[in-house]
Amino acid sequence: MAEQGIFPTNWMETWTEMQRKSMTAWMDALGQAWTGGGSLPTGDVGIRMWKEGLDRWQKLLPPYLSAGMPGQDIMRGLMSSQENYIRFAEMFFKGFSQLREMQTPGSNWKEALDRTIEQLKGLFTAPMGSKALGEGMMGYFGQSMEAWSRLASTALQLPENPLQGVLGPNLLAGGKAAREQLERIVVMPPVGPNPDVQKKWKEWALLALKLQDAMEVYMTHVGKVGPAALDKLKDRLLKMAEKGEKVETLKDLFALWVEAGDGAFADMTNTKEYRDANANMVHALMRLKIQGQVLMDDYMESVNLPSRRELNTTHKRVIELKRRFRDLEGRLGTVAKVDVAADLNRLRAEIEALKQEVAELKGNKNAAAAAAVKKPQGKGE
Amino acid sequence: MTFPIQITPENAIKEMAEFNKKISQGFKTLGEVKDTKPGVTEKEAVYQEDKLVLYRFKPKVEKPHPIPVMIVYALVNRPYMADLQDDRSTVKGLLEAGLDVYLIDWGYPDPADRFLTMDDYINGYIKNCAEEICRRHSLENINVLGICQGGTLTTCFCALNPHLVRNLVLMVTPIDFHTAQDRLHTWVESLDVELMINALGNLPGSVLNQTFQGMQPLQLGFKKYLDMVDLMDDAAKLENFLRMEHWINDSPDQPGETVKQFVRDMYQRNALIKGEVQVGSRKVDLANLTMPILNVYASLDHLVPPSGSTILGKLAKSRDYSEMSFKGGHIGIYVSARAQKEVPAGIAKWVKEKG
Repeated sequence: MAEQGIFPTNWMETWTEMQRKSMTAWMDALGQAWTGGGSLPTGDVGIRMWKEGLDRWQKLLPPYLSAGMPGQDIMRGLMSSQENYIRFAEMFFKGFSQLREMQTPGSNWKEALDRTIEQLKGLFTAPMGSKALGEGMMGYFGQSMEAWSRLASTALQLPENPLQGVLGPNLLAGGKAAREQLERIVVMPPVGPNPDVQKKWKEWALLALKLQDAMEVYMTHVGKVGPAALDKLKDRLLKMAEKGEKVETLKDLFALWVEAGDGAFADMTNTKEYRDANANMVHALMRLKIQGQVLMDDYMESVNLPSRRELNTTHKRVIELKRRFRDLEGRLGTVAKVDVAADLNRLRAEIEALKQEVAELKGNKNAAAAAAVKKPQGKGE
Repeated sequence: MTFPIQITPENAIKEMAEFNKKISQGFKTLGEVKDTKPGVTEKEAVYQEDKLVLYRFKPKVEKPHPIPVMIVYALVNRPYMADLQDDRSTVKGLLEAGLDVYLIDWGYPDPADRFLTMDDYINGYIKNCAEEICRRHSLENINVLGICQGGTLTTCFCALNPHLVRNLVLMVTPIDFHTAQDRLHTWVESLDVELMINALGNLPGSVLNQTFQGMQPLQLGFKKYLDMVDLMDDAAKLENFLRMEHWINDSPDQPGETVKQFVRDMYQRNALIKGEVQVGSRKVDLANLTMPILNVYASLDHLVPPSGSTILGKLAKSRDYSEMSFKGGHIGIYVSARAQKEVPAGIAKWVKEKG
């Protein structure tokens, strides 16, 4: 059997073919409009075509983009950057519909540029839960939000959830009716046989509402990045015009856009208002997760299974034991470092010296005794 | 003045068609990629503790320098960045320059590791590895090379256990976390990290990745993949790109208690330069760093600005402190072609001179 690469060729070929067809169809539509004097395709046609191809392909081969597959992060990155690029190209074609006029020497292109930039800002506006063309184009910010939303949605999936109908992942997508219903539930006093349990669920629902509020504020800040990036792009273009510089490819223009977008994002993250909004959103999510964990732990314990609480206690004890072990090992090491042989030799030497001393003392004593014995003898002599 | 956008619709359409063609061809190359497994230099595991593995790389000279070097990598990424591929390997460069190299691989912490603290890492794991190497070579001390966050942990280790360290080498290591160019500390200043760890247990690697990507979100999130399309007709370049991508996305979760203390003490309080970092029962005093120090930094580093590293020269009490500047970024210092020529050889020369 031939060695399989990390990107299996069969699905690559399928994707390539589909992608080629959708791109070709889109470019044909654009080409006809530009060169034949027809009208430009309306709506995000390129993205729609591209997405349709992608959807068909994903339905055919779902396992290849699932988490854990080799190369899936790269494929995702490649897909989203393509989407981003196509969105950008589409924004460009839409925004600069008067491109030929603007490029004509002597035209009042600055006024047209102002107008175009202001129009393009509209592409970044969409109600919460839906996706504006511009928002998709600033994809990172959407991805960042998705990462947090993924964490949030796991906090909303609980067993035996009495609020399942109104409090699920859709709440974060901005379901107005669900929100109103939850608000009514939250203000009701806990009644019935298990008020403590109800209280915990209500607390959880309240935290979910707070998260939704915090996410909305956060998204308001993020929504400012696209328009700010357009202003930066405009400034950059004006500076280029002053220097007589030109952009001749879409890719170079995209590079300017990336620079403007990153700059606008950096400016925003440097503001205290954004940082506070970000912190509030993260904290609201964390509080929701903690309360969700309390409910999950209650459930696990009720069915006699290990809970996170229990595991935490166990893990903490294991690590504390290990620390004590390390401490004892350290002390043992200090004891082991004492040179017992040297100590013994020293003690032996001391004993020998003492023996010598004793012997000498004994010798002196014997000599004295002998002298004493001799004296009477002498006396007698 | 003329309008600077001189893209004609015909050329734009041609460009998109060319892009489409490149992708189609590139996907064929992508389908032929067999293996981009990083970590290429031969090594053996010589010590294991929990998820940690201490590796010794096979020396490349007959008589390597008698005092081995222990590499301490960051917790936030995988250590094979130092040994990414045969022609981009700091480890290989050090071995070829005659050093005997060990490396700590932290593994992938899971929820059972949530309560590991900085003390467990510094006075536990790192110290145990250093002692193990001392035992194996019948030495009283060794050379230690700390990289990035691993450099910060190493700095704490050396200040607390100077008797185990002959010479200290640091690469792109943050010491001062509040420099004007450092954006990370401003991003986390309002975050309640205790609340986060109580909720999450360990900090997911994906959250960290998003944070780092936020430094240049469109460049790192999109443009680099568009640039990748230009590489897709060259299998070797594509494999290099994929190896790097593999490393970027291979972010272990961070043990909760450790990341909590690290964020609080370093990013929020900037406590290391104030002598206020408590590790176990002792405070880290940088004045205890009396051994020879080589501080290697990247002059274009956007994650660890040079001034955040070089402040060590003022705080350590070593009489033998020197710096090596590399003109490149935080990652380029390991993987760029110039780095292969300059960095490992420079470090090895310094280590050998110190004896």
